[in-house]
Amino acid sequence: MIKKLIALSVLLALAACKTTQVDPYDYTSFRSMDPHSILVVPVMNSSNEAEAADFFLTTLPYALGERGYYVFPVNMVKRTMEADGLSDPTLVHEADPVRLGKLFDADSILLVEILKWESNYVILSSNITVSFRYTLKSAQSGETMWQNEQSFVHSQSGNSGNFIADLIATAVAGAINSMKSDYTPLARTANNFALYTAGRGIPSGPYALTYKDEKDLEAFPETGSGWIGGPKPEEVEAKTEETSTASE
Amino acid sequence: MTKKNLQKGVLAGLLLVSLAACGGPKTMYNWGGYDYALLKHYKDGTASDELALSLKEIIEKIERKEDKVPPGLYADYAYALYDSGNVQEALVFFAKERDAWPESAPFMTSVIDRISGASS
Repeated sequence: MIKKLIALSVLLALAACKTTQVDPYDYTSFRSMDPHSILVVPVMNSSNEAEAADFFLTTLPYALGERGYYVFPVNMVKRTMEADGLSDPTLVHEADPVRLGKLFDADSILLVEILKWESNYVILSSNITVSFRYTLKSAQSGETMWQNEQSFVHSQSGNSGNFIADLIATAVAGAINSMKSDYTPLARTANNFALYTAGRGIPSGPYALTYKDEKDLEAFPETGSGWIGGPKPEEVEAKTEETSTASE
Repeated sequence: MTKKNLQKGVLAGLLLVSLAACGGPKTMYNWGGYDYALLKHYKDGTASDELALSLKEIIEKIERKEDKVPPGLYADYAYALYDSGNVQEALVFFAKERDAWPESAPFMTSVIDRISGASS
């Protein structure tokens, strides 16, 4: 038991502090914009769980606040946007970030899309999967500063050795989870990985003690590659070339 | 020390170690359950006055400890008050958000101007 725990915690420690990233994002534009505040707009929900958007929204103030940024009051922003006819996340996500930002005087806008928010019950085990795409846009220039995708899977499998007992335990767990569909604990973990991982997350914000310190500058470097997440610039170029050749 | 207690101690210690590996378990703010209050509000579909009540308790708890109130909490509380008809108290807390966070000042000022203009 204890040996298992030690192994687990070593893994956790390693995962929590993975400081080397082979191919980090380019933080040149992020650093030059130097956002101090983040406006979280209504979450786009591509999962089958209608409530996921609201549930997930509640995990973001903690994640972004603890990263060192001022986060606009999420419930107030949601409600005022709804009152202003901006309740459709798809429309909001397509709207001009500069105009959106001006409504609240925000430096940057975080757009999140829920890709997955589901539990699968498969006889002997149940899996809960959450998956998100995070996009941070500058409210000054409108350009994308950072993008990241994060998935997190939680598996529960019965292993008491008693087949029938396991079957029942798993079925019960699956039923409870799918009834509430509150997977915010997993969402919090996904947020942490998305925001803190060196070379993939976002730099510490102005309220963090680590703001622009040596370690932070090293973990989130200005590589000049222009890759801020999503497909790499050279891949996009290659694709464009391919399509133009194909159309000739 | 029983074996069970020992295991518990080891588990707690290991958790601390793994957290310390990345800067320690100390958070910047005392969140006091702000996020869970919002989650409950969405989950149970409660009205704004109920949300206001739980946010009020959270703010009082944090302020009593003289901890730092996290960003957005004063304003979300103020909005819940405003939405349940308590405009005067809402104005007080919109102003608190404005004074605590310079980033919120332009937005809070415009909200305060609009509300106090409409109510006077």
